Amino acid sequence: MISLRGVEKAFPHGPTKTYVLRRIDLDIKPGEFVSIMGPSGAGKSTLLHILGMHDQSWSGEYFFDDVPVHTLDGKKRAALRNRNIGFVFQSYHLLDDQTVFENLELPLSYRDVSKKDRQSIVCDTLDRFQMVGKKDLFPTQLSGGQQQLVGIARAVVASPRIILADEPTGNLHSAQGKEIMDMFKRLNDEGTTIVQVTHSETNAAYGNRIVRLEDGWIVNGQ
Amino acid sequence: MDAFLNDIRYAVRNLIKRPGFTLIAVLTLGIGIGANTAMFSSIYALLLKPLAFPELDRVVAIWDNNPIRGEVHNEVAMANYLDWRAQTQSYEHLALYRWFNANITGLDQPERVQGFAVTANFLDVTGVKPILGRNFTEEDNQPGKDVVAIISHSLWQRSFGGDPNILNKTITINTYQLAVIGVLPEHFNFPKGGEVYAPIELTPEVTSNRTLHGFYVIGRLNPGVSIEQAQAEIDNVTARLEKQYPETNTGLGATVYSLVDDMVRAYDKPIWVTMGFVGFVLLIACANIANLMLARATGRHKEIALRAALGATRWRIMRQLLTESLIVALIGGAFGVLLGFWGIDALRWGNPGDAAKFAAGWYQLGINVPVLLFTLGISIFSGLVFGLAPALQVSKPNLNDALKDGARQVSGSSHRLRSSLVVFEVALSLVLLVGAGLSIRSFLYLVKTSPGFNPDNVLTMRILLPWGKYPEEPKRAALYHDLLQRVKAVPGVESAAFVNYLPLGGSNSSDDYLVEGDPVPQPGRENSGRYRVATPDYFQTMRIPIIRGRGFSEQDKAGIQPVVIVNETMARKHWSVQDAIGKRIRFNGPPEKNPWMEIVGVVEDVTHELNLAVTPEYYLPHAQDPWNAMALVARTTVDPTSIAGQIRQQVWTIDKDLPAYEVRSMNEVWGLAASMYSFSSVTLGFFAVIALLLASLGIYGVMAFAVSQRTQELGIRMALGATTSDVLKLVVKHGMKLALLGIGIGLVGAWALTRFMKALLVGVEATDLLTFAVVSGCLFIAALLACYLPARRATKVDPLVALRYE
Repeated sequence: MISLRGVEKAFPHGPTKTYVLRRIDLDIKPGEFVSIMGPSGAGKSTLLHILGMHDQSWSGEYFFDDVPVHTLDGKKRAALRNRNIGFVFQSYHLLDDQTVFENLELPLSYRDVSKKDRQSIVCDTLDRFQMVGKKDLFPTQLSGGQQQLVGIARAVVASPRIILADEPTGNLHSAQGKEIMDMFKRLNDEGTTIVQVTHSETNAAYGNRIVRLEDGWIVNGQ
Repeated sequence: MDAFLNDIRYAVRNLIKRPGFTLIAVLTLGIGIGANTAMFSSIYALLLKPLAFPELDRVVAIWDNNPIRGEVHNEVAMANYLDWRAQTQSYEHLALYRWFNANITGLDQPERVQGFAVTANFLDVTGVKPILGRNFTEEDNQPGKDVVAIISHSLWQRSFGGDPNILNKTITINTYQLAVIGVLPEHFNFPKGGEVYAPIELTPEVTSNRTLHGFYVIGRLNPGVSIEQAQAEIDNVTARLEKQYPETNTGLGATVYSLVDDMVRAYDKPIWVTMGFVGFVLLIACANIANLMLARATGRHKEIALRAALGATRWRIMRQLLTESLIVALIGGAFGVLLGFWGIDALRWGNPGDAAKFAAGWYQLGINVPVLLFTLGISIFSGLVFGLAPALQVSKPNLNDALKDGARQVSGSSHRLRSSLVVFEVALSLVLLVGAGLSIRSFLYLVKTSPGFNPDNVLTMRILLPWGKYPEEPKRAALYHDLLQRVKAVPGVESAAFVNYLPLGGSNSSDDYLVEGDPVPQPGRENSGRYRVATPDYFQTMRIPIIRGRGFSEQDKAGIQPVVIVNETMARKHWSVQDAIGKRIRFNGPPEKNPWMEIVGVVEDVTHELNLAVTPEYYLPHAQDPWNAMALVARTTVDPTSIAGQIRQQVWTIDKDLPAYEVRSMNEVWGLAASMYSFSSVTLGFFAVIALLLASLGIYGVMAFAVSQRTQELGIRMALGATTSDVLKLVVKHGMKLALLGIGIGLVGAWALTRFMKALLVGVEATDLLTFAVVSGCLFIAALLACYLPARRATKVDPLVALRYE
């Protein structure tokens, strides 16, 4: 599904460069649950955003379903991303002035889904995540765990084939974190590929592969 | 006191630390305050204190009215005035005057000035005393007394070199010798343009006349008497006179006005409308600065929270913020005074022609103590207006949130306030733009619409034959006939004629007429029409098309069948254009003195006053009604003003004492008549453009700020799949929602307010749909541009950077 070959990212630093990622070769197959781990500054989030096609400035080769992402322009990358990838963030990044329902509707509105279909999809998703009763609440009226649940629901609402999660339980206490990880596991069991960045060995244990990064290099799990 | 000084010190330091903000705020405010200062200066000089009369509020003007005929400002008949004077108690003095053309001769060149014939108590009403000599006495009004005059300060200086021994010297006016008995103070300018004041000779014939409505009445109320009381009293008197003299006084009433209101009614509306405009500009400027202050306060959120955490009360924080606002406002006010000087210069430079010269109080135009007090007042007011809302908004921070790192700095209510300010600005701008648009449309209408004649290459000048020297009608007719032949012989003159009043010249003559075969109208319902007296070739010279019959000819002489030419409107009112020829009309008066006149021609309507509809009008041949004061119109093949000197020489060849004055091309006459409209359209247009710029800046500022505050949100949206066009649309939509709301409110406001502009409009309705639509479109485009620029910046948001906040 995903194949990275010789991917590097660096920032110019005077006459030299500071590398954040070095010669990354990585393959992720459909249905995998991959955890990217490593110390702070190892390049985990950077790698995740490259996988998510948010980051445009890197070198190397990136194939998504054999499509050479490195040759696509911004528009085509965005289209590819919108068709296939969902995101979950550590800080949830819900829009405070929109209700739960509207937050879930947002990714669909960017994918030209009709209003009628949007409503039906969001209702299904709310039902699936057992949040129907909270659909009219604003994010600030929810607990952290509930907010992240909405964040995951928002990530899956457009039926992505892969979910990229950046420390999804980082801001949650352990009980809430477990609930979220159970949700990821369930999604993975239903066929969605999951790639998460985590510091937690417990959370990593939910997956079937761990990729370890240090100083921008993959040291294990390639 | 110490705390207050501290506030000032801290405020000054803060303003110096942010020179960009301070400069923009001071400039924006300076423009608003400067415009207001200049306008208030003209309001003070022209409308509030146009006359330096003691206890001016006690001075009134009284006009005849006739509701049956729809007349509200009619001159008064002498006998009625004398009855008012005898039968009322409200007045300390009640005086009467009429104007006359004063031909001063015996000087280097004959000079025509404005004269006023007055009752002896005229100056008593004004409360002004001569600086030299004496006032008139009742005896001066008696027939057979020595003829005396009081002259203006400017005439004394200009024509007599300020001669201190001028008293009892004689001057020749209209061939009469008048002894100068007094000189008025400098700047005494009442009635407007007056230079010579002479007593009216109260002969029995004059004092018994109730039909000649040619006099103006002014009065000084007794102390404590209100205008309403004076009105009630005169209502009783006019009701009595109506019963006593039904033939002349049916339907005749009188209205008492404050003299200032009466004087300024011709030009107060444009000035008030312009003042309203600049007031709006100031409010828009204040809204802009309030928005700047809010944005700035957002940056100071932590500082303010810290002050509150350290024990500052809300009032203490507000005081600090308001001190800063007031200091900005006062610096802006000082800058505004500077701009006000230039604004007043611009007003003087662009003044509506003679209107300014004859506007009493024009000499006072400038920065004086009342104007400075006004400027100080509006500066403080502005400081409070733009400072209060932000101060209220940020002086009550949520300490828990505000002191956290990375906490959101903008509350929802702050957004709402900023958005409301933008809506307010857009709405005000739309009102101003509609006003300016209507004004410009009026002016364009005037430029494009034919006045019914061709003003190009026509020279005009007025000539006055003194009654004393030319009492006989044949002599007057002969002189004008002779002069016309001489003028026609001047090289460059194609054709020439005389008319008593130029079209658009500001003066008209009118009289009632009877139509042969029609029943005599009831008193108060007479046919009223304008009439002009012209020599042959007038219509040809002015290029006024004759649509039926003929123009005047040399054969239309005195002593034969009187003839008349009517305009199209009059022909259609009574007959038809075809049927009018051969019909007869006459002036409404004794038949022996007012013979029937046969209609020999119908001409196209001519615009004689720009803002009034054409009314029935008829023309008489000068040979059959030889007026003494006429205006020359000469169509030339060269620049008309280039041969004015030669034509004046021709006048003086006939009579060296004849003044030829008001020498202008017909285009200049048109320009003067249209000057109020051109002045309004330029002034209002200028302020509307400033308003548009300020409002656009306001929208831009709010949107740019919103984008900077929404960086993270936009990043999230992009991470969730929003394309650049989605982000562009999102930001533009947000801004345009505000703009459209503002436009909607502005349209309602404009619809309600532009009716006050009716006096400034010609050829366009105050609710002209096209103007409303075009102006809304312009504002929409400006708002779109103002939204587009920040929206473009929003599309450059890098989701990676935005998301890195976590």
